[in-house]
Amino acid sequence: MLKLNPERKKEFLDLMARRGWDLLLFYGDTWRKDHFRCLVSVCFCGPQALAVLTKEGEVRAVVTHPWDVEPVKTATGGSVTYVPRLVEGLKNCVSESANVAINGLEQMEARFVRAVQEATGKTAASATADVEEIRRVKTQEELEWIRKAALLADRGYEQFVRVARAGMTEFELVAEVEGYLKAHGAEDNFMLVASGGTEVTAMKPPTARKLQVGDSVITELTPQINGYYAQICRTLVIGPPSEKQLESYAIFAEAQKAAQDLLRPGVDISDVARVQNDIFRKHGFGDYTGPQYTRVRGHNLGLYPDELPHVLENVHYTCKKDMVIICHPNTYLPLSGYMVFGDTLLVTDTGCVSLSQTERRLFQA
Amino acid sequence: MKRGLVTWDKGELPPEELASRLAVVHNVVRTKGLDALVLYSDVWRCNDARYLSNYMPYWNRAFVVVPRDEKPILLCSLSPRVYPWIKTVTVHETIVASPSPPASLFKLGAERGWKRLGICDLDGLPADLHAELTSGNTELVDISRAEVRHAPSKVEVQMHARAARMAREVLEKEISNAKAQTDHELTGQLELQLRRAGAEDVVDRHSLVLGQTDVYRRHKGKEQDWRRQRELNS
Repeated sequence: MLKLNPERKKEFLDLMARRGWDLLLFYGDTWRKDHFRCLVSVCFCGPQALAVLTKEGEVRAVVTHPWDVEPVKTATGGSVTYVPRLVEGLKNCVSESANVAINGLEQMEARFVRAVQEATGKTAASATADVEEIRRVKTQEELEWIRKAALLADRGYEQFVRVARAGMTEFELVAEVEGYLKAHGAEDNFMLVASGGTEVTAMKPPTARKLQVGDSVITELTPQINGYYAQICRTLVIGPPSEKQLESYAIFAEAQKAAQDLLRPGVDISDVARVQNDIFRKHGFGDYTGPQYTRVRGHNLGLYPDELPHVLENVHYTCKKDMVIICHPNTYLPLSGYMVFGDTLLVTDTGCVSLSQTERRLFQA
Repeated sequence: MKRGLVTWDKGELPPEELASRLAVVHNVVRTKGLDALVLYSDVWRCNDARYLSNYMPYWNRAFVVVPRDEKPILLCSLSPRVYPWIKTVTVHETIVASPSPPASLFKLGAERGWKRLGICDLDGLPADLHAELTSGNTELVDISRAEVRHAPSKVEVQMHARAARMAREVLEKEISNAKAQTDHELTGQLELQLRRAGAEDVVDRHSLVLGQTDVYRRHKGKEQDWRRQRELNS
């Protein structure tokens, strides 16, 4: 199992050489473990963890829970220090006058950044954008984990369809799917849901609302395997779908296909958003492609379920081979309420392939 | 993460309880000579805001702002499309869409002539928000968490007791089947039962780091060793 990716480590060392950094710190907290896990693939259980990469290639770590010592030590092969309060460990892990950069600096508590600066006598640089750019293009081993996560997302959606029924609450439905995904190896799952008709304007955590015949039940499932997320978005109708639900679904499927047909190396991500929005415009629903009704037309995937770049018409980024992007034209339409549809796509040499195997249809329960 | 049932059961958490917590914060604002007090919230560090207004995000950052003698205002990075839902599970009547909570806070402060703000655990803010706030012209005062959140009330203790009861009941039911299960299967079963019982979140150390029961025991023993060592050191 990938624990300390030598390919990534080399890329980070090259980055340090280019920028003139002596030490590169990878700071993760419970929300943003990805900033740590992109170097050390351990799902730490303490509130924070920090890995230090020296320009000579040594890796050491500071953890804030004693249970993290052994797995992190096994992964890095270097020294691992346990401190109950991270600020204590920070002072000892950087040397005076060192040029330090921090991946995840923005998320770091201000007192931690100050501790680094007091120890070095210098202002720490942010490495977050540079590291994110490296992370966008996945290694072959990372792609294997994302494929496994995509497969689990498919199985999770099968379970969703299997158990959804009228009279069940949203939170009971989510419990069934979460339990299934965890039982089949997911570390985590980012999942939102909503149910109802044209009054539904967004997905959110599940409520105690009971599913009713005629409801659109929308969800995005995002299981995580060995740190890596894949996502699937589908819509299910309780009972027979109405003409309007079918009409709406056809627009979403056409928009997602437009994105998938376009996505390839060299394409500007703004165009991947534009071709999706153009389908809605063609059908007279262009007003429903803006922030009042939707968020993004997709996003990058990896160690974080909502990586940049976002797929938006005003975001410019040239797509590269081996990026993994979900394209989901999810939005509100007056036909059906909020509807979702999306697959995890891997950018190949000449186009892209879907890692999602779930049928492309409006599901029915 | 918190993606189970997020709700506001007013029988369990009466509005009067939240009102009494707000009164404590209002008192801090007055006695410290502040114009308002600000609490940070994100998907992980949500407890301060949750304590005050029952706001618990499933994603993103927010500030809960308590102006002197007014109801709390939510400066929220989530989409306005979910504000109707937020209003059903919190005390918030005013929610301001805030892609940048500090920018919204400064705008609000400028409109109201605020000059002195209290920030709960100022140095605990994420560094980018801290930098943005401290670069402004408003005087910032660090307010310790202990000043805002006092000893657990009877209501809180009852909620702890309910969570403990849920955990005990589910464990008692599931542990007898655990021998025949892999660690993933046991974790999945616990997750299923607890979320079905209405848990909004489940923290399962067993699934996060460890793989097997013997490893669990080994680590458990190690934690006790650490504690013993720390006692010796102190």
